[in-house]
Amino acid sequence: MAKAVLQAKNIIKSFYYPTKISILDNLELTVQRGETVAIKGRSGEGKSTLLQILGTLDTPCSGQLNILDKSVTFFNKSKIRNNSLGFIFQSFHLLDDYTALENVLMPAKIGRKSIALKSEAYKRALELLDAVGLKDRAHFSTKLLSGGEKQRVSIARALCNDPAIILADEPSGNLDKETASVIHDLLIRFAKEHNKSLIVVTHDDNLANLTDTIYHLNNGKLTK
Amino acid sequence: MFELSVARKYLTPRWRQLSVSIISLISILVIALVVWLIVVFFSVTNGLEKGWVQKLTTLTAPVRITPNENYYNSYYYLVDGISQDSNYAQKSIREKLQSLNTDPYDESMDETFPSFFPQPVLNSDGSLKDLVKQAYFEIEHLNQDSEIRNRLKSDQIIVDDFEVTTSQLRVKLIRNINNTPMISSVTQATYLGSFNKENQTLEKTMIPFSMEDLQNLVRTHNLKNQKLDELPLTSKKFQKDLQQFLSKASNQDLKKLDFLNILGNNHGQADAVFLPKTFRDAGVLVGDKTEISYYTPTMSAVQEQKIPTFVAGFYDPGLIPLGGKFILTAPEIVSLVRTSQAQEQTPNSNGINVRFDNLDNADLVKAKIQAAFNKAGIAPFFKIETYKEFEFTKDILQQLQSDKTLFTLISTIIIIVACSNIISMLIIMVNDKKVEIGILRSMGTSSFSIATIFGLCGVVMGATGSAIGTFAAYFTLKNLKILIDFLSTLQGHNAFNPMFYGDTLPNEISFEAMFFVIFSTALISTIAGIVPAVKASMLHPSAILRAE
Repeated sequence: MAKAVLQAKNIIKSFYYPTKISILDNLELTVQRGETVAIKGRSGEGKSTLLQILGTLDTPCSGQLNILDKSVTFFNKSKIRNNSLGFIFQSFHLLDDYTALENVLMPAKIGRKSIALKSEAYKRALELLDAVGLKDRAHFSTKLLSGGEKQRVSIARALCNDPAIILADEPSGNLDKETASVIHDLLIRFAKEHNKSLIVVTHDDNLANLTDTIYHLNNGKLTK
Repeated sequence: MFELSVARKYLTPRWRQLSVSIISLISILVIALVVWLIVVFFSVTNGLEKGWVQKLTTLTAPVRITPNENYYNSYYYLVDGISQDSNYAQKSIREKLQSLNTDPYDESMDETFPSFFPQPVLNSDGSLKDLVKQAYFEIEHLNQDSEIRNRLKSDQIIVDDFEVTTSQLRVKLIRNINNTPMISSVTQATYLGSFNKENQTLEKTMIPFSMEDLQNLVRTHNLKNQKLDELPLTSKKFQKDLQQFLSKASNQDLKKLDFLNILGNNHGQADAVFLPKTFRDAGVLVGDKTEISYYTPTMSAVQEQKIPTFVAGFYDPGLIPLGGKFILTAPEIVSLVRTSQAQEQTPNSNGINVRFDNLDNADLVKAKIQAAFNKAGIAPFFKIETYKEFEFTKDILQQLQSDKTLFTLISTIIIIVACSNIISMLIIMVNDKKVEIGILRSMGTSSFSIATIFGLCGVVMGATGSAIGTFAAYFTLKNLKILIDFLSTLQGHNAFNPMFYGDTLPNEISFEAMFFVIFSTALISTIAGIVPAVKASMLHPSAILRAE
């Protein structure tokens, strides 16, 4: 029996200005290890907010979030993000002053792991860049990369610390159709090959159709 | 360290962040400028203070002991006046020290004590307590004291007596003007103090001989007899070598004394006098013949007495009010002049100088002497003072201290203002790096790490400014003379009055000032970095990333 890596129970999120707007209403979600999940919904429905809550970047008004059987608290958020979660953003969010390799190594560096030339993290980063087809771009400044290349670096970076869960927010939103297709395949293949759970927020049916489970966010609740 | 590497990235100037880079650079330069100013100012003022204090103690000593009213009204002092063995004359400290007989009174020879005569202070064995010898013994015995030995290290306490009296000094100036000898004279009422070879501070204030001094020496001391005329006196190299030799010789007591003896022998056994530099400004040169004149009361009249002397050198008396009139000569001459004059008409002074190199120990030495005197039962007869308590130095030293305290306060405020620039700069940087903060947070960077990154930026900026400022200050101090010459040229007169500041300003870097600025800059930069650092750590990653 597959083990749940993420459990969200009774998640409520509301915004109070100028008037109260309820975004998530007693939302429940369980994701198993290796399961790929797509969350779809209309714009403004709260998909990104949900993803940020699941990624501990935002805090729900109430509810319980467990990641790898650990309850998320104020004190262990950073550690959970570093060890167990990998983010892929629509706008890539790479660090401009660093090379592609340095970007991929950044989570390891934050986790105080050795990133020396022959270290495990360094080897893994190069392997990941190789896997996304960017080994020859490893020492390029990210400013010099195309959108598709940036997103591939972003995928490699998300996997650097070997997290259990990858969270992707519209990963192909800024890419052309062909490149988007390549990114979709890469993302799903990586998740499957590395036995990672993937939660992806998307409007793209092609991507959603590649996942194991598709959820719809409607009126603050998830439905299959 | 992750935080340091990110901070370094943020502080590296980039075209893309030109405005932030320029503001950072300006912040660092402002701190450097302030540090430079403070280090230079403190180094110069500390050096001046050190120099002034050294000169102040030249004529005195770090600790000075003077007999008080109790001493002068004691049996011990007054008994010489009625004793034949003492020629019915009171003795100076030196004479008391050299006297073999503590109690010269002989009942069979001397008159009966008047009724008001004080009672003698006796030792436990019934003998008269020798106040001066006891005082010398107690002070010299301090060299065995473990605390004193630890504090003074290799330095030793040296004890000598001092005498000050008044006299007239007449200097005969013989100058060759257009090959015609012209004679003129300078007369000055002076204080006469004893030159003591044990006075180590004196040699430090000696002014090197000039070429005019050397030429005057050859002319006035008949050095031709020593075949010195055969020496290439017009050669610049020879003059330089001779000057160097003489300036070095004047810094070494024994050599100096030998040199003076040679001069004295050439001058018919005349004694040497050392004059304050004001005489040099009046045209007096080393080698000029002088006379010390004083007036002695005799049975019929007051007669003028003259002692032939010659100028052996000049010294810088510093800021002592009477320094410009204070001449130094052999202790025997001072003693002769002092005892020959009508005591009630001249402001004479006599006492004991306690000398040691490190002035910081003055208070400790004073306390130890006081304790030893108390124990020996001679404390009521002497007044013990450190150089900070001398009547004529107290005001100057207090003023110096007040000036330093005031400038320290002003410096602290200037550093705060300079470092507060860091706050605004870092706030701009935090706003500029908002997205990066969000990205780093999403990858697991803690709030504390984010705060540390920006705190480090503040500290690094402060430290860089300090380092640049300190280096610039060191460079400035090494080239201070060029700077002062430039300022003097701009103003058309001396930028710093040599009367107060000496011929050259001190140019040694003050480590005290350096530590002060480095410590305060680091502290204030850290404090300045806290506000932006906290602001950065409080940024909500979801809000930043959503906005992007």
